[in-house]
Amino acid sequence: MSIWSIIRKEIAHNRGNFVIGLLCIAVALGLVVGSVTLLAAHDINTEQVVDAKERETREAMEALEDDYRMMMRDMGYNVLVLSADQSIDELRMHGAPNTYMPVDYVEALSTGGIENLNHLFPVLQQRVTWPEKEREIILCGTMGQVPNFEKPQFLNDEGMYRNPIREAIPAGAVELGHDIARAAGVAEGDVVTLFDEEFTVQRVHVRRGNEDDVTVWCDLAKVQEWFDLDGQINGILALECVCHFEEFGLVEQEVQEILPATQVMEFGTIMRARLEARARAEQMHETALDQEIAYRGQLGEQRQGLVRILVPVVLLGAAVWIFFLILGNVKDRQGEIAVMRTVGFGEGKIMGIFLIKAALMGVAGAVIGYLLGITVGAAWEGIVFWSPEFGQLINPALIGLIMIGAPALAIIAGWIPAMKAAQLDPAVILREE
Amino acid sequence: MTENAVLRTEDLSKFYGRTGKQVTALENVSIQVEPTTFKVIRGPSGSGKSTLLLAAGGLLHPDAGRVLVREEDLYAFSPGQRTVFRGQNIGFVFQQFYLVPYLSVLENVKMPGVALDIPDLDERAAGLVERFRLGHRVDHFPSELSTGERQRVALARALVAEPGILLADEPTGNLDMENEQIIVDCLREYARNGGAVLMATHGLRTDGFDQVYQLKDGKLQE
Ligand SMILES: Nc1ncnc2c1ncn2[C@@H]1O[C@H](COP(=O)(O)OP(=O)(O)O)[C@@H](O)[C@H]1O
Ligand SMILES: [Mg+2]
Repeated sequence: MSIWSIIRKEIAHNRGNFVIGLLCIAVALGLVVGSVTLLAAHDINTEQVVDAKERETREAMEALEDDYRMMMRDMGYNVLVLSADQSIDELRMHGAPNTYMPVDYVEALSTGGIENLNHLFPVLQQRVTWPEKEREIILCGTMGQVPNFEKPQFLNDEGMYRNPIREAIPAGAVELGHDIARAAGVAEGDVVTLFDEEFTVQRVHVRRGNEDDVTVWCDLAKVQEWFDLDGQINGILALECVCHFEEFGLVEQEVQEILPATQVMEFGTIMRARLEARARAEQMHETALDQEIAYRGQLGEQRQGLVRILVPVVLLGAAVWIFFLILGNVKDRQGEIAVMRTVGFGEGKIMGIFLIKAALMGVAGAVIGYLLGITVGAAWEGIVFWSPEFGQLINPALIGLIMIGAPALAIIAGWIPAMKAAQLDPAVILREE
Repeated sequence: MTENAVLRTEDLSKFYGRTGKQVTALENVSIQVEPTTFKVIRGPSGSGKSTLLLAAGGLLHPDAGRVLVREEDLYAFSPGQRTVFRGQNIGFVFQQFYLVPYLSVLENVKMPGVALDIPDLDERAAGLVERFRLGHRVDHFPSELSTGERQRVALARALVAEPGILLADEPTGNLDMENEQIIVDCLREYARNGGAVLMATHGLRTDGFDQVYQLKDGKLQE
């Protein structure tokens, strides 16, 4: 028989006393672990909530971007790249540019890595009289859209636009604006004569309310031939796809980096308004997110404050409880202690009996309290026992602290009663009849 | 005065209380107990019997005089040394048996072995349990025993370290006549076999003891 079996047998015999002490520590540590777990769970949940909100914002913004892209595409070209020496006044007066650029320019843009321009559409426009119809028109030679290779997402397998704004016009065909077609009395499928050559009208455009309505489109090579402008164009229409307000106006700079001898005309007041609306929407999302973060931060701080008060109070309470429990145990066992002293038990052994008992209470209470606390604390924040998030809550440092701290607390609380036991005067007890 | 006394007190005095109401519990008490003798301290309640036994057993510091056990001055030891010395050389039994309630009969008997190195503890404990006719009770707990059996367990516990002297403070005070006789017989047998017994009693029987010290108001009567 050893001191251990004495302790073990006393605990087994006096189960109630031990269980009360153990439960007291378990409840105290349960509260401590529970509140620490609650805080950790709160942080995890905050992270998740914020992540979700951020994702939501991002998705909303992306959806908005797609909407704008579609809208802008539907609004048609909103940028015109011109030769640097083109006078805008003259352009307005003529209805067409009167300075020229090599057709290679469009090639340069399409491969130059430009970010914000799409659907490049080189044109050679001339304001002329249609001799056969005796009408002023804008004659527009085109070779179709040239892809911007920086934006492969809009291209099909052959490197062409999936949804082009304009198609190339084959030799021998023309397209007519709404007004000129009507004035000339021409419909789709008719054959018309233009500069002594016959063309099939493959399409009559709907009315757009701008110079397109008096435009006749045909193959670029034909116009170059008629006006002796081999290899020349005088404009590149394009779709500026600005999805961020801050990027507005950057396009000229971007183009001039590739083609210094050009200028860029942007015509997009509606676009500007849309971008402003979009910026406001983004701002609103961000404000909502900031509010959520602030709210959760405040909640976390409130809880932290509570924990800072709760933890010491609860630990002190547990210590006081253990103190009285061990003290009562010592009182109950006075005769036993006295007789142990007479048969040769030293003060150290007597003290050890009570301190080891207290420490065992601490260890057992710590195990139960930990399991209790982590389960309840997690459940409070809606984290299910043994879920992946639950794994994040298991804190080895906390476990270590508790497994050492709980027995230490119990030993400190039991120290004075144990000392009283050791210093008990056996004569005082044994003299009594 | 023989030199080979296992226990000797020399002019032992003990006063209780501090200034003012001082109680004289013992006054110049000198006794001695030789090996193989069974001696008795007789006196009315309050005469100082318990005080004498506790002081003689190294549990109560006297105010004057010396206690010698096997020629060692008990109160010259440090408290720690005295505890060990007491465990090895002095046995105690009391009117209340002070058995450990959560230990079985055999465990109670072997309990001193937790504090001291006792050779052949198992054999000794088994032998004592047999000798005191507790063989059928070894696994029982004190609460399951009769008072007579309880005192025999306490006696076996007091003797397991084979002390030179047994101090018994009214060990039969709680017992009926039959059990009293059994206990006294056990003590006498232990004394005859090389031990020594000093028993306090307030009873009137004085026959069959080697010596009876009469105590009154802390003083020995001639
Ligand atoms: N702690 C104490 N304080 C004061 N007086 C005490 C104390 N303990 C015992 N006494 C007194 O000492 C005397 C001897 O007591 P005790 O040794 O117990 O006698 P007995 O065992 O013969 O009954 C008694 O008068 C008792 O009242
Ligand atoms: Mg007494």
